[in-house]
Amino acid sequence: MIINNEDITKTAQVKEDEKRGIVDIFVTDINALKDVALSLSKMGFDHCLSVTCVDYRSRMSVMWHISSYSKDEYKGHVLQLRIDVDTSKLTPDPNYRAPMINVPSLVEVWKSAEFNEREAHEMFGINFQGHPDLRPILLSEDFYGKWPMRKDFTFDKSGAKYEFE
Amino acid sequence: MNLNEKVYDISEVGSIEPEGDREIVLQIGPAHPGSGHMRIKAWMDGDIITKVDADIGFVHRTSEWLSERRQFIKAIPIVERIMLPDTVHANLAYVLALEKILDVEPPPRAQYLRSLAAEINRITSHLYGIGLFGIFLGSSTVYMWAFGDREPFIDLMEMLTGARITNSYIVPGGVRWEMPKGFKEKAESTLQYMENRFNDYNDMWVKNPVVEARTVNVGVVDRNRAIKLGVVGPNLRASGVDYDTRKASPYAAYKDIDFEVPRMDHGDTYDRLLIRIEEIKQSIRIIRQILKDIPEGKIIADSIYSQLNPVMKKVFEQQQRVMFPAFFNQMRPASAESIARVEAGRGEIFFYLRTSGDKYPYRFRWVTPSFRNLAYFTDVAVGYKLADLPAIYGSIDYFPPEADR
Repeated sequence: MIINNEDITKTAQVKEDEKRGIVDIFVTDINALKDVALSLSKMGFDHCLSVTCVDYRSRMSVMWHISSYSKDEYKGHVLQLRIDVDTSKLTPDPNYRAPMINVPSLVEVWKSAEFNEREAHEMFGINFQGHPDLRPILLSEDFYGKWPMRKDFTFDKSGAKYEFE
Repeated sequence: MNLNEKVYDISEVGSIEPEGDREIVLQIGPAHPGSGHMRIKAWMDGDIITKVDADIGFVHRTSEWLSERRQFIKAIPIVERIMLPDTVHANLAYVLALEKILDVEPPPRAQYLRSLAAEINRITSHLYGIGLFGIFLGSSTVYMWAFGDREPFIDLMEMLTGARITNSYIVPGGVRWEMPKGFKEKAESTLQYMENRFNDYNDMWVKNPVVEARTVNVGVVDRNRAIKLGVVGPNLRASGVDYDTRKASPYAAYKDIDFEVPRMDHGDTYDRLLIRIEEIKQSIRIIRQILKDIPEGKIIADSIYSQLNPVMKKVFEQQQRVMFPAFFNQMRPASAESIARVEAGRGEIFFYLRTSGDKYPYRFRWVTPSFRNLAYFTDVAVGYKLADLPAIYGSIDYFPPEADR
């Protein structure tokens, strides 16, 4: 086990899958996310590779993949700091196609997560609370609020010749 | 005409409003020959840059969205076309993530061939970067040289894989082609040619006082700042961080290969040029080792080979060429998740793959090195002169289509 820090294990479930190279840190309490991130940062996990969302329709999984440049013993590991949000009970918002999901931003802990969180915001509609700048980055402005990477996204098929599913 | 009447209200485009009286905003791109398919908004105080906003996404090609709606094998051409100068690495990173889910281990010869293709690709990618750096600094000679010297290596790739750029050489379980006859001799002569060319590059470009004047102490990123910004690849190592994915979590044949990871101390634009030349030298060393040590054996794993029909098996025995079994198109990997990291020419590619037991990937996530190097614009260029911006841009080897994905 590379994670045996008590601050982390008391609030998160740690599961290692050595064959596939994933160390999954599942934080059950959304308020404890930042504390876990800070403890990991103190351990020497100093940069964020990717902010990834997986839409399971009834819940949204948001994960930060982090690793270390400075500590030799952690260089070969990628941690997956994960949080699940129940999306079935969100109230609809008339401004957006589907309601936004509130998750704390970890830019204060890992500056390298900034552009990744911006991308996750426009693709999945995750509202990263505390992010300094959540403008769209890859998509054009008219796509804002449609959250195209969510599984329930459909586009206007009039004129489209190809059906995907 | 009433002069007080506003024809154009600046507050409607608030984001380009300058801060204070002294500043002006310059819009560089998106169709500028130097900036490529991106726009750099630079807030200027006189000649000094005070703030930079990198506006990307002009060549966003929705590779994740497309890949989640296709069979697994069809994602290979998509990721290759996003990273054109680095096709083998994009291909390899995706296949590594997929192999972890399929639980397939390629045979040793295939591992060596993968490393061989990757290192040839690294040389072409670095020459591409050095050439574009030349044109950014106004030297069309080094641009022509680097692109010309890239050509023999692309010919090598054509000989090995059958295609110049978009090879699609690596498939789950191995590689598609055996090394052809006469490849070792041709590779050796190409490597010797490149080694001789280093002297020319040194005389004309690297030791050139004009280049040194424009690049030394420009765009300096020290070690701690590089770690904080999370930059990748040669740019990270130029700032003195000892990190290479090939050493940190070895893939393909890198576990058995002896090589060094070059590192610089100062982290300025000049160091970022030097480190690419050092990395080409290491790649040459790796290719020589592979050609000497490559083991005999099959190029495809037995579990994939057993899926071939009798005609395909005959083709494989006669021509040493793997045809695609129908299995590749119809496979439904079990529900699982996996990640993969690969050190590409420009830096680390990260892959996250989530399968659900369906024909298509449930979640296909990848982050390219150029996207992670974006912080160079927003954080590093501040405080330097506008004339330094092309030097900083050119030195980080940024490739807009790769960042936009």
